[in-house]
Amino acid sequence: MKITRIILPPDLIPDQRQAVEAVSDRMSGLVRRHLRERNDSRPANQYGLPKTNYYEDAAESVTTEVSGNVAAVVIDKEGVALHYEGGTIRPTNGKKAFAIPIDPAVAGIWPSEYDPTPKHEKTFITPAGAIGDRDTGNILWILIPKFTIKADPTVLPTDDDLSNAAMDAVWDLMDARRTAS
Amino acid sequence: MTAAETILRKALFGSDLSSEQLSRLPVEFRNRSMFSAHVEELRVLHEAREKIAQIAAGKLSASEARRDLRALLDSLGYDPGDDRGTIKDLLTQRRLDLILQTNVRQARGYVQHLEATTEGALLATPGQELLRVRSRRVPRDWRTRWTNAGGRLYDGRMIALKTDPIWTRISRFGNPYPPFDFGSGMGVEGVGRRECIRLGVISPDDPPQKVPPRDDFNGNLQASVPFGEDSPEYRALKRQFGDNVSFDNGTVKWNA
Repeated sequence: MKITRIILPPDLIPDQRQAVEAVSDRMSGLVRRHLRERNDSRPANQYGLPKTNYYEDAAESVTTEVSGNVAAVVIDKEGVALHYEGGTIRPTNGKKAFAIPIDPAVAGIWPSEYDPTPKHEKTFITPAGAIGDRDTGNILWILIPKFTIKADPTVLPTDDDLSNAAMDAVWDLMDARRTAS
Repeated sequence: MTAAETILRKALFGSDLSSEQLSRLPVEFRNRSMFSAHVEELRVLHEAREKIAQIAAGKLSASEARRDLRALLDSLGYDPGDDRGTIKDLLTQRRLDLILQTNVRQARGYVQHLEATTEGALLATPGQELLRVRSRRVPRDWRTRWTNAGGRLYDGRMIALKTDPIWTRISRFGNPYPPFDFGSGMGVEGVGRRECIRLGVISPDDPPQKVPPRDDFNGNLQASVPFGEDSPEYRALKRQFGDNVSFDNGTVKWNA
């Protein structure tokens, strides 16, 4: 997911390359910090499953793309764009439902990993739409055919925050250049 | 370069070397190679490299990667034997996650380090703080590790210039970027120039840091090593890379 492009006025800093490098580094740092704080503030889920640290993973995936006087921040984590923009998602690749874990034993584990046998010998599916373990009878996942996520602009820093970070970086850069000259 | 691209450029290095023996190989070599302790089968390393790149690109979950690697291991007749259920067992979630997560995090850390140490980034954000980004049940004592390695505290914070050798000294892997140890929950955040001056990390008149040399993944390299020509480490390199590797008076040369 690519977010916010900061385009620097060409007369702001003589060395545009330095300016873009400074700004992109500062912006990506802000996005990482924002995602980490979001991760830290998330409560445990309703089923008592351990935190997935989804937003920490997103923070780690943040990089930048620089081209000319344009800097962009990129988040290489599946689902971040969906959480930000909202939408309804349905399974693909021939699947009919999403499997949502409700037992801590399968946190972070997909049914296909838990039961890779061709005829699903380890698990069973209930009429109500759940997957359980054949040996224990425990229900491990519930099946959901689709779900809708509301747009949540707080997933990312505001444009104001990003702009302020960019200007802050420019001020720091100008201070460094002034001292060096 | 993206994290996925750095992973896909790594050469496959299969060997029977232990984790400790692998750690004695030069960091420059380890950073260019895809390997795992006691894994000789190149097909496993190839599949792992592909999966790790896909995870780094946000295109695959760890669960799918583990499932596919186990399927490959089963097809190859892998049997952990007496190591079943231990960290040496490639079928366990613990071992697979160690391989996947360490490599993904190292690739991301490397790319972020490149971005953070450009000329402009070093001028505007010269400092970096070591801090916890993931909780751990049994956290390591990083403050002691930091100060023992010569790191200073500023208002109780573990901060140093981005090019300070402290970053390499605290790293188990010899890299100046996270992760700094297996399963570590520590990361870094930039500290801007004016804040660095306020904290006393730098003075206003200090010269700017130099941009660190960039790795040439496809170039030749040579490095001094703590092992000899008749060691298991060198024999493993020779088996894998043949005439592309040579030994000369305590230095290993690798021709790309």
